Amino acid sequence: MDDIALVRKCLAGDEVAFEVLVSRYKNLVYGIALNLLRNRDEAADVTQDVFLRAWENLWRYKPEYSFRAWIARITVNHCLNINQKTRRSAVTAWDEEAVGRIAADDGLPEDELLAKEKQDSVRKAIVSLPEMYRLVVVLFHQQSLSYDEICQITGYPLSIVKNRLYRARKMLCEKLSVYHDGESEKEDDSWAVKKHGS
Amino acid sequence: MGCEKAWELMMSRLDGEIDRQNQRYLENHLKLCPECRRQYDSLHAVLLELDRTKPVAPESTERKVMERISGARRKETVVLLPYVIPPAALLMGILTFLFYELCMDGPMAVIDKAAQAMSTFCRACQSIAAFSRFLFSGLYLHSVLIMSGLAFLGGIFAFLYGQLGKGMKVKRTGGQ
Repeated sequence: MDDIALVRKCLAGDEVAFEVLVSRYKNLVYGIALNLLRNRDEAADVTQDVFLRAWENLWRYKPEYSFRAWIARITVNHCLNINQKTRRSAVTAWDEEAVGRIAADDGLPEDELLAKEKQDSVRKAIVSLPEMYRLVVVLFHQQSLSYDEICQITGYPLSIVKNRLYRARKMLCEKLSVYHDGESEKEDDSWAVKKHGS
Repeated sequence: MGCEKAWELMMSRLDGEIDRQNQRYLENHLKLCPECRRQYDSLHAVLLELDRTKPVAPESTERKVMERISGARRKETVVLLPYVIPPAALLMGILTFLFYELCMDGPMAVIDKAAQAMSTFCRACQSIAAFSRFLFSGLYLHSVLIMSGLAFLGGIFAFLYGQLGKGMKVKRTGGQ
């Protein structure tokens, strides 16, 4: 059953139809919340808040827009409000999960450690992007939303959305090239150490 | 093909908008240019990482959301009851009285009573107007009085509209 039919059922008071919508979009809402808030518990709470808000304001939903974009827009606005209220810094990159992962990395083989290190550097680069750039990257590349849907969610025109995504990719490349340079320098150093035996 | 053009093609490829010929150009360039290859690998690593770390919501989300919706609905109904019961009781009283009058004296008596009530209301309004004329004789004070009256009426309408909107919302959410 498509989203609009489910929304009509919800407006008639059918809670089961709403539960179907929740199952369909909970990962999207949670994914956006987690990327913007970077805290699993908070993201889970926000997911519930967003669906509750959606239920209360379902009569405002216009069927000419996609439900996916509508619910994503509620999520983004809610998370940005929370970030504004708590004045969360954009570079508080590591949440407790990441710290735990680093602690658990002890004792892994070297190849796996290198792969993990690379993953961490990529993750760090994504997290260190400014909020609106990170949001566009996550919506486009992780949640597979279209440009039109991102325009509806952020309220920006297509040119700005495209420009942000372009610049975000450029920034990611720059950040990761710094990491690669560091890595190749490390490799050179280790080669020198091996060669000179000192 | 220059590196700038290659970058543009990389962007098109990430957007899924690259054609076969440009795809071939890009691949050839990536084989020849290590700097572009590194940029491309970086972006590819980002996409892989985003895909790998695609968050999955907790399984209990549906249950918790539905519980909260049920809770909110119960709360809303309880909050609105004081606004619904007194007007309903008043309306019931008026209808009972009218029905009683209708049974006792017939329809003409009811119309007569209604007309009497209307004329009493009109006389009360005239008295209030006369009293206000006695109190405030100047044109300025009259206009202030009229404006205050209009604002008061507007406030009543706004309140009624708000209550009506809430009532409709409860009806919709509690309609099963």
